[in-house]
Amino acid sequence: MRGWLSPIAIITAATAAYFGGPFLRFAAVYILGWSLAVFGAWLLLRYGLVNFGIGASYALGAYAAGLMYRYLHTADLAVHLLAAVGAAGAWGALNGAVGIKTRGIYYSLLSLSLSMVLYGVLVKFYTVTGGSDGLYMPDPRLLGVRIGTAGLLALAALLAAAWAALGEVFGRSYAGHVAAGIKINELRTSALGADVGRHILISSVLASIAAGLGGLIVGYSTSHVSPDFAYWVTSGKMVVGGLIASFLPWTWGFVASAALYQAVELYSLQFAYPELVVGGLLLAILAAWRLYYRR
Amino acid sequence: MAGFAISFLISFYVFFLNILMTSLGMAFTYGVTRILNLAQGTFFVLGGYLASVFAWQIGLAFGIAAAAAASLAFGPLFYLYVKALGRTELEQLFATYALLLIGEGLFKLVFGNGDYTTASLADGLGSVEVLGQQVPYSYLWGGAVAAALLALMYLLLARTRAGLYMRAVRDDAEMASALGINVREVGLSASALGILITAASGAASSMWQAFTLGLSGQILVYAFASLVVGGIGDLLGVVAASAVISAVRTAAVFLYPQLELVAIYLVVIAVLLTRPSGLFARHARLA
Repeated sequence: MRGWLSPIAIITAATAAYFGGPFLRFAAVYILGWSLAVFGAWLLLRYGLVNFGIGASYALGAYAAGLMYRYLHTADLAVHLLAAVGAAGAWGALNGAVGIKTRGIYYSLLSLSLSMVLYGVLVKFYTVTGGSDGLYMPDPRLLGVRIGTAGLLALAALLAAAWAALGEVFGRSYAGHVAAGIKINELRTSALGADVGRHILISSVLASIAAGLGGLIVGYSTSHVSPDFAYWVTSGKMVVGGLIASFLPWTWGFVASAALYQAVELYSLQFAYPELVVGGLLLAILAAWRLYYRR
Repeated sequence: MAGFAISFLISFYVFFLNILMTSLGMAFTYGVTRILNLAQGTFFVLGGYLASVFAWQIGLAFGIAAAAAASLAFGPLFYLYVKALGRTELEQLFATYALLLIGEGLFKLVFGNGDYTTASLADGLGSVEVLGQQVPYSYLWGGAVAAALLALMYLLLARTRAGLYMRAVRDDAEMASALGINVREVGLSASALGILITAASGAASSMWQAFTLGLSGQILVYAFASLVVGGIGDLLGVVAASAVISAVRTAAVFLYPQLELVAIYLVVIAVLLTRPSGLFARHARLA
C-alpha cells in the first residue's frame, strides 16, 4: 500500500516547488524530466542490462518535437507527445531487437554504439537536424494555449507520477519477478518458462519511451535540444542516476536520485574542480550505502 | 598508387597501435575479473602525463620507464579501493565511475589545462624512409613496447601458476572457486596488473599522443570497443579487433571522411549482430 504514495509524493513535491519561486520551478521541471530518463536506465538495470545509449531515446524525444516545429510549424503538445513516444518507442524496439542476444558488456557497448551512430547523424546531417547547434524547442501549446511554466511543471509531475505508478505495478507484477530472475540467472528463468527475449524487448521499449518523454520535458524547459543529448556521457550520467535509484528502496527512488545527482552537479559548478566534487560526493554516497547495508 | 597504399598502411598502423595500446590492459583486467573498470582510461592518461613530465627531466626512455614504475603503486591502491567499495558488479561500476571523475578533477588540479606529450622528444629519434614515406622511429618503438607487453602477458598467463589461476577464473569463476582458488584475490591482483599494463601503454603512447583533459573518457570507449569486438578471453582477439577497427576507420578517413565519427561504432554493431560475444569468443553461451 505504501508504494502507492509515490505518485502522490511526487505531485506534492512538484506543488511545493511551484511555490518556491522561479528557480525552483525551473529546477523541478528539469529534474522531473531528467528523472524519466533515469527511470529508463533503472528499468533496464532491473534486468541486469547496463544501457550506455539511453541518451539516444532522450534525444529522440526532444528532436521529434523540435523537428515537428521546424518542418510542420506545430507546437501542439499532443502532437509532440505522440511524436516523442513514437520515435522513442521505435528506437527502443530497435535497440531491444538488435541487443536481444547480447548481455553484459556486449549489450552496454552495442547500445552505446547505436546511440553514437544517432549522435553522428544528428551532428553530420546539419541541414536537416541543425547540426551541433541543435534545434529550437517551442513553448508547447495545449488546444492553442501556451501551457507556460506552471503547465510544464504540471505535465512533468504528472508524467513522473505516472511512471512511478508504472514502476510500482511492475515491481509487483509477473514481469517484475521475471526481471529479477533474468538478472540472477537467465538460463534458469527461461527454463522455468519465461520468454526472456519478449520481456527484454518490451522493457526496452518502455525504458526508451520514458527517456524520450524525459528528453521532451528537458528540451521544453531549456527551449533547446542539441546532439549532446545523445552523447554517451549523457547516458552514463543517467546510468549512474539509475544505479543510485536501484540502491534506494522506494518506487519514487528515480526522482530522488535524479534530484540528488542534479543537485550535486549544480553544487559542484561553483568550484574550480567540479569533477572532483561530484566524484567525491558519489564516493561518499557509495560508502554510506555500503556502511548501511553491511553484508 | 604505391604512395597511396603506403600512406594508407602507415595511417592504419598508427591508429592500430593507438587502439591496441588503450585496450591491452583493459582486456587483461576484464577478462579475468569481469570488473567493468570505467576508470581504465584514467590510468592510461595518468601514465601519459607522468611520462611527459619525467621525460623532460631524465630523458625519453628513462621517463617512460619511470612512469611505468611509478604506476606500480596505483595497482594495489585500486585493488584496495575496489575491495573496500565494490562487492557487486553494479557497485563496482559506480565506484569506478566516481574514480573516473575524481581522476579528471585531480588531473586538472595537478597538470592544468595544457597538452602533455613527449612527441617533440620522440621526434629526436628520427625517422626511417619506407617507399618514399617517412615513418618516425617513435611508432616503431611503440610497436616494440606493445609486442613486449603482449609477450609478457602471454608468458604470465600460459607459463606460470598465477596465470593458470587467472585462466581458470576467466573461463568459469564458480568452478575455479569450487576447486579452491581464491577468486577474489586472483581477480583483484589481475586488475592491479591490468592497471600497470594500461599505465605503461599510456606512458609509451605519449610519444605520439597529446594528453589533455577529457581524454580518459574518449580512451575508455576505444578500449571498450576493441574489447567487445575481440571477444573476451583471448589476447589475439584484442589484436585482431584493433586491426579490424583501425582498418575500417582508416578506410573511412581516406574514402568518406564524414563517416569517421561513426565508423568504430558501425564496426561494433556489425560484429555484435553477427557474433553476439565478439569475434574470438571462447565460450559462446548464455548465463
